[in-house]
Amino acid sequence: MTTLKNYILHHKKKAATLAAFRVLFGVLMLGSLIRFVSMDWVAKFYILPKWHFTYYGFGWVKTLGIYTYGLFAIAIIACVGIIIGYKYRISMILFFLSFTYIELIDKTTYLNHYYFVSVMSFLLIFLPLHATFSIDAKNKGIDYKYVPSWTVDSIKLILGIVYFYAGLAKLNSDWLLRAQPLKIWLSTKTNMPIIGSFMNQSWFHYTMSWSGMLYDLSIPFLLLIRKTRPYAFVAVVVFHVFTRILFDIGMFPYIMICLTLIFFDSSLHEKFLLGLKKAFKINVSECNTTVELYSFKRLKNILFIISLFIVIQLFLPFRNLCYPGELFWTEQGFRFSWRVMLMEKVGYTNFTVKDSVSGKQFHVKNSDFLTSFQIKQMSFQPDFILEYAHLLGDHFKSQGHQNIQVFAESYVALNGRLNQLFIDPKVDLYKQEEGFHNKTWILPLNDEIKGL
Amino acid sequence: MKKLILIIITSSLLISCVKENNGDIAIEKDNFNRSLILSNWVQNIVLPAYADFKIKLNDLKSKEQNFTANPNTTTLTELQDALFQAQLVWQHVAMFDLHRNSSEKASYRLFMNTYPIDNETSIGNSNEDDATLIDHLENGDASNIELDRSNAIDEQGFPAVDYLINGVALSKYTTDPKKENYKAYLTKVVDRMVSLTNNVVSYWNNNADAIIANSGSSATASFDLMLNDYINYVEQGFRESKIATPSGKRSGDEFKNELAVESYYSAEHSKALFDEAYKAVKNLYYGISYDETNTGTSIDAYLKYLNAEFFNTSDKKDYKIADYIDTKFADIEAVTQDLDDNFVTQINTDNTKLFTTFNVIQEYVILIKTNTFQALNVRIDYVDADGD
Repeated sequence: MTTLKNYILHHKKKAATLAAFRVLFGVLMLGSLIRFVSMDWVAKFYILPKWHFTYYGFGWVKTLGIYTYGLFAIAIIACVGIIIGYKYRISMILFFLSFTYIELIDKTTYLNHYYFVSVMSFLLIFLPLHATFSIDAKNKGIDYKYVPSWTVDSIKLILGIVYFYAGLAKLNSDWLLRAQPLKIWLSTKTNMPIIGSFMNQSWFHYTMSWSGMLYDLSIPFLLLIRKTRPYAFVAVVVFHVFTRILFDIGMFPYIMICLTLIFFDSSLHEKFLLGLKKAFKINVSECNTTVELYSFKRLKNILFIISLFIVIQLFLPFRNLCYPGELFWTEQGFRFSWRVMLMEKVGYTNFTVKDSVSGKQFHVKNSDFLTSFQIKQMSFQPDFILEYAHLLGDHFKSQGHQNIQVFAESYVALNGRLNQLFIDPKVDLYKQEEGFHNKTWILPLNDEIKGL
Repeated sequence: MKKLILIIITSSLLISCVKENNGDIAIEKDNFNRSLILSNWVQNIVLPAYADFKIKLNDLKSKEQNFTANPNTTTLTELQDALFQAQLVWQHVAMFDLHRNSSEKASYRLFMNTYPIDNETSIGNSNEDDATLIDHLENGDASNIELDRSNAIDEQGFPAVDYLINGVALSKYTTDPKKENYKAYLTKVVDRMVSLTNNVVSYWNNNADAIIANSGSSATASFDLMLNDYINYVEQGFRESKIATPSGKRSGDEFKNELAVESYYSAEHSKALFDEAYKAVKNLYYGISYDETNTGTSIDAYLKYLNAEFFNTSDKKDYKIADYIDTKFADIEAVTQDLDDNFVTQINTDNTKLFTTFNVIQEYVILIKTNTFQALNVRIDYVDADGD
């Protein structure tokens, strides 16, 4: 207990580490947001769709229509605040709220890396990333030399969880024994220079699968150990660049490459800041009082929140254990658990709306209600299928139809298996409710995927 | 430190080599040259089929002129035959729609061949006008009809011509008080078909090279677009319109609707049109040229090149997707060879055969849209969003 107390109160790291992290994080987020807007995805994902798929419990988060651009504007301005360290805490809160709100509008666009951004920015709200090299420090006239070690370590811990849990998730028979889904994904990429000729070869699929698993499981530790750190960072760069070349994964590789720099010694971060000072001719005024160690005003409260947050992060990814059935198939407890690139899953799902009294029924044309992107995502994810069934039921009810029942005809192919019936076609989905209970109307996968 | 800078510089160089996969020009991702497929499809299937279709439509136009100038049984029979010939070739071009490339509300395919014709007065549907096709002919004035509205899709095209020349007595053009209106409407409909087709044909002629050149792998690459158009046609134009709607597959046997049979007023041709459409569906998959003289590169060859397999969970073995698709075509043929030449007869005698037909086509659709699209890395969403 005393060691823990000692660690919290007296262990310290250079404040430059957090400041460098703040600048990198801000710049990467700014880049991501600008890229998102420039791809016209704001309109495509948040404005044009008639209906949105919401997260359970967050149905109240609605698209703001054209004003969604306003949310992006807020997030972008917040990024600038983060980069220069101006009203840092407010900027970070604004960024977290606006970014998370955007993500909550429609789960069609769910990506682990967006979730990662929300998780990281929530943590950063409580950390003194503006302790030095910031407008805040300048205005306040106080420049901190050190911050408590735990502030830096909590960031490392979150990064470590992301990698390690992604590695744990790869410990399954599809990934290790069938080299799926990499086999499917790599097979069509044979024209890449040099390595292209391997792309359609089994040994290459297995090598990539196993090395990916080993990489994810070991990289947090290799980054922590001083001796292996430079090699680990080379591995980080190679791994992420490789995934960027092979797959359309946007900014995520760059984000991970840059953020893992936090594992390095503070001398590197100081040099980075010095470089920035020179490059942008930033004049750090001499009148600043330098204070040795940053101290929190409400340390206990903040420690409580961060501890709770980390405990949640540690256990949430295992919630799938509460559900029977194949995780990849039912996806109950699949999101928010760093299960990255584990599935090649595609579905074909259509709906019939029936009047239970007259027996009259008709077929729903999905494109009348959903965008092609939404149709694709809806077709293989049970919670989407259920929500869509309810949206359809409500829609046709409002049109004057009565005694409505909604049935799905759904076929899904997972990791190279032949497609099979996914949803019980006899179950009226309009009567089924979303919740944390097991979805009994998902038909079982005719196979077993062993492992975590 | 220096090492680190070196690493960052090299990696950023590496990264900058990676093209964003969102523009019109995309990375070509496998050695199998997708432009081989595109060039086979465009040069050997699309262009010859459209060229032939244009000839057949011009013939329809000239027979229509003969008929309206001199309506008698001879000119009528010639016109009826010209219609059937054009309908046959239509089955080969219907899947090459250009909806996304035009700003029109409804697609070329819908304007050309939406059936059944408008023969009921819709109540409370704001998208519909109240007039049926028969109203237009009996009480309206052909010169006032605007056929380019999207709610007029079922008052024109092949189904309207079918009604006008196979569904009414010859006297409507000779002795009937509204004969001039009938003639005018017929002319107007045929002229519109010719002009719509001319636009589409010139689009394909002018853009053939660009379409073939856009041979990458992305949501906007030609291969992905054409394959999506293809399977959408198999679903909507082929499975739904020809089988599901008339048989009442979606709504139950008691809601079958013989009026929804393609070419209802000359329904003796309905099976022939279906067979021709099936041939087109199969030919595109195997890459068989429009004149059926040679087999080029297509989906079948691509799947074989990739050695694409699926895992059968019941016997825990891998099977070739291409072989499995062969069996799906065989299933469709086994079922459809027993169908009556006249689908109206089929519906009224043994509708379940059409249900079975629907089911075997559906199996093909599902196999293409799931395992095949996965294996070929085809985007089905038209959007290049990020993955993770």
